Amino acid sequence: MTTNSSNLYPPILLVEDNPVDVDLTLRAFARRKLANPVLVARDGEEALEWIPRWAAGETKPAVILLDLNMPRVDGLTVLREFKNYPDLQRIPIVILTTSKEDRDINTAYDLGANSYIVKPVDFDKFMDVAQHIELYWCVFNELPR
Amino acid sequence: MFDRVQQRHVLRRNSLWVVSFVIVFLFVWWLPTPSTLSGVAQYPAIHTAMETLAIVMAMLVYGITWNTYRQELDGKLILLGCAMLSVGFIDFAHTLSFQGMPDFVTPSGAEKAINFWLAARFLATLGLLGMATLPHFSLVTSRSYYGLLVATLVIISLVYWLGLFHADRLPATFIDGQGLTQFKIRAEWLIAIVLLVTAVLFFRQARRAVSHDAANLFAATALSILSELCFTLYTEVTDVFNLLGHFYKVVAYLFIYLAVFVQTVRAPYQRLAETQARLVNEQEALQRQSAILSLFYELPFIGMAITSAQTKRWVLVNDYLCQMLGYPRAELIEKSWDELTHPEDLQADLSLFERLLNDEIDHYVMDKRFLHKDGTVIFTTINIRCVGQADGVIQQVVATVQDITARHQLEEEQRQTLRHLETIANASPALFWTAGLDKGCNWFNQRWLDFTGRTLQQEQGYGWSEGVHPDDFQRSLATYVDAFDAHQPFAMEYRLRRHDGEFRWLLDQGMPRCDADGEFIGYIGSCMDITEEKSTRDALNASEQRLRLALQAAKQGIYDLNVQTGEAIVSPEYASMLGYDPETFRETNAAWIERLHPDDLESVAQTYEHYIAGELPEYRVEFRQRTQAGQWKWILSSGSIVERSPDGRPLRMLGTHTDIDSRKETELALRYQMERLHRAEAHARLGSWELFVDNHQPGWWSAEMYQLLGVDPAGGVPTFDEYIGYLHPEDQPLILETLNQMANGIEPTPAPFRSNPERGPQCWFNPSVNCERDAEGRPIKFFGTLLDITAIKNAETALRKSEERLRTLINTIPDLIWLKDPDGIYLLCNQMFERLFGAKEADITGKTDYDFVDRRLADSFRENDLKAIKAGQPSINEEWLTFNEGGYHGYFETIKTPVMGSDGQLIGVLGISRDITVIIEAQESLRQLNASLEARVAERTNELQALNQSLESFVYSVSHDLKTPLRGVEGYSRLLQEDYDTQLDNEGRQFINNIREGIKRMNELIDDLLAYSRMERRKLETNPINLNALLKSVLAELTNEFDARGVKIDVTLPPLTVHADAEGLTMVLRNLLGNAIKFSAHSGQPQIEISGSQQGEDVTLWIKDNGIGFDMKYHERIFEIFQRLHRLEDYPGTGIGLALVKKAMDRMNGKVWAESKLGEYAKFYIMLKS
Repeated sequence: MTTNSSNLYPPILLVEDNPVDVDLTLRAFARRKLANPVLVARDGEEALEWIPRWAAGETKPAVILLDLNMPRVDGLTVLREFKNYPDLQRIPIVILTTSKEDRDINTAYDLGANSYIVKPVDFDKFMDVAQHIELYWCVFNELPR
Repeated sequence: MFDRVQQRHVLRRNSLWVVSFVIVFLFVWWLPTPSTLSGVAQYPAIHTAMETLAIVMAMLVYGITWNTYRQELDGKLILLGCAMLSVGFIDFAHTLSFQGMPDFVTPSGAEKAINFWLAARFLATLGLLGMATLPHFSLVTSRSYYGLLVATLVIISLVYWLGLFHADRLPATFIDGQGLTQFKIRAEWLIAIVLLVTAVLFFRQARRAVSHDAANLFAATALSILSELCFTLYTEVTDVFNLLGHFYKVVAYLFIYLAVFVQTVRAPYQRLAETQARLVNEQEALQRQSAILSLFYELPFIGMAITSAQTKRWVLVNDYLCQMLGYPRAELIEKSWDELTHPEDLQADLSLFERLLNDEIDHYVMDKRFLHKDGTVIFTTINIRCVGQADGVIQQVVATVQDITARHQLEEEQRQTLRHLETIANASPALFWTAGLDKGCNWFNQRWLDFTGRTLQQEQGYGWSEGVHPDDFQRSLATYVDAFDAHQPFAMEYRLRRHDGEFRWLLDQGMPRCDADGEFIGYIGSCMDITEEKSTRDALNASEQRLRLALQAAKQGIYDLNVQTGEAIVSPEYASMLGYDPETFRETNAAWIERLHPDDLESVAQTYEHYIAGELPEYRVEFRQRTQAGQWKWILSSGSIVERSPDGRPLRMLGTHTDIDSRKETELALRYQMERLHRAEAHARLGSWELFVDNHQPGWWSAEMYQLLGVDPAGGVPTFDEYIGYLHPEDQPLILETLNQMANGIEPTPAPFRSNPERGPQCWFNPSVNCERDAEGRPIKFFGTLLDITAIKNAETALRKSEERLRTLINTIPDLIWLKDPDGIYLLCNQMFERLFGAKEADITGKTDYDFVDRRLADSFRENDLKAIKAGQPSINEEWLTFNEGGYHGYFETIKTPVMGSDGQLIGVLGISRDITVIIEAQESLRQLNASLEARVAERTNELQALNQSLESFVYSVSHDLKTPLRGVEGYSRLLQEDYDTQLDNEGRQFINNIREGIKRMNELIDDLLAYSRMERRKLETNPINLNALLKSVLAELTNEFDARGVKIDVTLPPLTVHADAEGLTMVLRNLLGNAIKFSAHSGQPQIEISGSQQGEDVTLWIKDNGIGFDMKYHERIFEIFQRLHRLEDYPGTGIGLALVKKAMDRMNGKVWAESKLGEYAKFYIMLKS
């Protein structure tokens, strides 16, 4: 799924298998009038398919929001792949997941995750998180060039 | 030579002159118009005057030197004089040639004058240089003297000739209109330099002492230099420098004149004056000396005279001699000394005088008599000496004459006295002698000489000693010499041979003799013939000596007491017995009482009184007297009244004192020995006794016998039957039997016996008995001892009982017990051990292992024994043993211990073997059980681990999978609420609210559940934690809630530290405080108190709220999971909080508990280790 792919702003890649979560996330971004287009990969495999496309010249994302618990290829595998890829290892990856397990948090950071955010159940809080992600990663943060 | 000091003085003065002239010179030089005098018409006149002065000076110098010439004078002066002579002449020529002067042979002119001037300067300079440099020389002959004058005149003529007639041959010195030529100036400079050198030489000479007057010459030279400088400066012959130059020259010549005059005229006069002054001084000194000598000459106590050697006439006599001889001086001088000499002495005097004149002696002294004018004889001592031996012939003789008439008279009187004394001494029946300072006897009276039949000459010195008996000689000589050296009187007895050859005893008493001045001059002695008295005395002495010896041997002193006066006469032994000197000892009754020992006073006094009163037949008493050395001496005094007054009062008592000190000592020693014996017996509890054999009469009992048997000593020695009665009836026959045997010559062995129990506590005695026999071997007396051995017997009994108990104990013990000596021989064993060997103890003791078991086993036993002995401590080994009795086979633990005696000596090895077969078997089965248990535990652990893992994955999926849909529901319900609010009615809105409440509650449940599982699974990190700090941070987290609900917090927590997991403890506190807030919400004033304490390691913290509390019957339930006591709408919650707290506390090895009163308070405690 692509939205405004010809946007001036670099996109955000959301890797999330749960359609409810995808929908809610997109809504949250929409409510906050996010300028960056949001790309969605519905599982790990789909996320990895973006690698050749970025290599072919498509605009690399400003940030990748990555869920951990996904069917087929899980989030940690995706993380490892992206961080192993020389061209991609500078793209910030924010883990956005329900798990609060120490094990997951530590492994994610060990693999090079730039941030780890637990999805709140409360929708208001969830929208706050979305806004903060956008503000931080797409406005304040300077991307590698 | 010039006096150095004076020269320096002159030099200083002259230097000042020179300096002032230099200043004048510099001043003139400095003046702006150097030629103020130029054109003065009178200048030639002034010049002439100046030059004339100079010429006069030069001539004076010559005149003085030439005329005062003496050989001893320095030749240089003549040289200087001649130089000045030529200078004078040439200066004369110069004066006449001066510009403006009339012609002098040739016309006058500046140059002509200058030529003469230079010549004069040159010669003057030479003269001064000669003075400064030439050595001292003399013009010995008049030829050289006059030669010098001729040479001078030749030089003058030469200069005149050149200056007057051949001026053209000389170099130009002055050119009119131009002034001085270079030659002239250089010549002046040269002269000035030479003069400068000369001046320096003079200056230095003046500082030393030289033969000429260098100080004045220095000034002359220095002024000449100034003069020369002036003449190098003038441009016209009439200018001021010219004038000054001339002035300086005149002054310079004046100084030369002074120098010459001083040296040749003034100096000799000065020396002459000094010599005269010295002569006057010496003369005065001589006169003073002569005056003193004349005083001596007229000394008023000695006659002095000078007589002519040839005529023997008095030449000079002093007043005293005149008085001595009674002649006026004038009259005496008319006489010669030989005519005034006593005729008897004349010959001796003349012969000595002759020898004096012949130069055989240089003086002589003699006593001689002069005849006074009135005819009396004057005794004198004369001393004759000769003087004035011109050409070896004696002219005069000096004599001193001392009047000794007075002394002579005294000597004469003494001689008279002596003669009288000698007469008396010779008349005396005593033998007298005197001795001089040399101890030699110098006089004996006639009696002595008659007695010895020898002459005075024979006896003088030590001649007398030849007559002394050889046996007495050494002793008496020693007495004599010792007394003599000490100047002490002496008395001695010795035998002297009488003229008939018989030795007679003499008592010789000597006294030191002194002259009138008290000076010791020797000894005088008198001797008495005491032969008869001595023989009588000797006889008496011998008898007395014998008596004394007898009394001394008996150590007896004798006293003779005057009872009335208390005075006593005592024998020497009496005194020496008490350590006093018999010579000085005086006895009185008072002194005797004073020496008496205070303890003896009463008894002695009583005895004495009883005796006096006639109550006692004799006076005999023993007492102690203090000796002189301060010790006590025992005296036996016995005495009897020998004289009584008519009324019966005792008057005189005679008695003896006997020294019984040694007897008393023996007595005391004996008493002391007895006491010691008694003490020893008492200590040993040993009594001794005697018993007569034939009639069994008791002899003697020692004090301890009474004590041992409990017999009253007051009743005396008990009879034999009584004695037997004190003994045990069973033992009595034995005792009698023993005594019988002893009496019959059989040596019995006395056995211990007991005291009679009816008479007192049972005692045991060990007897010993002996028998005294007479010469035929018949028994006379038993004597024996009795030793109390009750204590030993009691100990023996106790020991035997104890041993029996021990034996029973050992035999009862199920272990094998035995004791072997170091060689492996059995000393004892118990019944259990008997079973091992299958033998009785009696058979085992005395044997070794080798007698009971096979060799290999016995070897191993022995080896273990030795090991224990070597180690010196117990050694343990385990072994399988088979009992010989019954064949039991078992596993034994054997402990072998080396046993030491009290003396540290090895007694043997103690062995204890315990049957541990059962234990070993139990251990084995236990080991097997353990092994199977471990296997089971491992199995269970694996199961548990698997279970745990599945639980973990369950929780993980719960966390993820339950929350994901929940978030969807929450999100969409929210969207629904916001986006479709207007399309819903109130009921619809209520539904959505309810949905959202459910979601919220479910979310909390999942979170708490996750926390609970996490607490169960997570690894804890136990660290020391500051409880106060942690509490503070947790309270800070909750500040907002406290404020919102108006909760009052009261913390009174002392500083505490606990060991816990920080996260877990934080969670615990958070939950408990959360509960406290929650459950106190509905009380009026919510209040939370927090406090804690520490007891030992246990730290307790409690949190108390004033909320609704709970019923204590639910105390256990509240800590269980999902247990709630209240409705959700009243107090929301998941029911997991306290379960979580309990889980955390359990995992941290802590405790949590609560107490509460429903509706009033709840108080939760947690306890952790510090």
